[in-house]
Amino acid sequence: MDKSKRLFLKTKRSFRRRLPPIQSGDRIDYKNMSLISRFISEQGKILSRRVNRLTLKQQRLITIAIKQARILSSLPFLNNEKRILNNEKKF
Amino acid sequence: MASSISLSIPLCPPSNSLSTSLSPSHKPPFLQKRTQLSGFPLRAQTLDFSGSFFEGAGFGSEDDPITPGPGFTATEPKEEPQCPPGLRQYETMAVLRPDMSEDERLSLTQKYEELLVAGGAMYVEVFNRGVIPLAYSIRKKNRAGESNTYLDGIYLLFTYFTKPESITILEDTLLADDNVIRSSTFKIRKRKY
Repeated sequence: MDKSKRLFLKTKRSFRRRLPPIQSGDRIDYKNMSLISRFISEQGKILSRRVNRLTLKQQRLITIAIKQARILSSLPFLNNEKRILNNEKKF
Repeated sequence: MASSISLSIPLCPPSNSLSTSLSPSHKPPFLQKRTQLSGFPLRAQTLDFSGSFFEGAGFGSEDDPITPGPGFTATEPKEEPQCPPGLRQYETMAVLRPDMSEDERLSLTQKYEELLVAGGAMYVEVFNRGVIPLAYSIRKKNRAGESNTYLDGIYLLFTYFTKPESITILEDTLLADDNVIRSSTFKIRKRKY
């Protein structure tokens, strides 16, 4: 568990290690929207394990849960409404 | 407005499940020495009892894995023990049409409960999450051949213990039902992180 935290550190900075995003209290489940929606991007994409700072097991369970939630329409497959607005603002 | 209606059919006497707790040894011992958060896993586990809406779970059953269910807004504690002699724990999430009346929804709930019990299910519980807007629109064809597009849905959750053979019947009925837009059945496993 410690090794996974050190893998993605390139420089030795002395900052306080932040809390792991998933404590053992919560269960990773497709119903647990508050937990699941922390690990998807704005467009609804699943974020990588590097960004999420999860262990491999947790990341796999999160991925399965997100896909289950997408089927049940709790989460979108693709969410490109905001992006179009940003493009329109530029031009 | 989400209303939660839970109907439970307990068939075994409740036991004190708080007496048996997860041992802290499921975290590697070196981790406990290192972090200052060593108190957290234990506390989080006790929170976990209250943090579950699933009323039928306890610990220490040999036969079937149990997962303390995650919250919708999890406040109900787990009280009842597992007594599944050869049965497995499943849950089914069904999304219904939003324009169903209260009576229709209740009759549908009853119909599925009877179907489950006829197939040999125990501890059938139904949770109603209310009308929630869908993340994307869903089209569904009726028996009559017309297709409707839905943007909301009534979410129902069934949790039960049943024989593995009766799952296929339930799934087929859910697929054939016009009122059910989408449904998924999952087996509940106990997972350790």
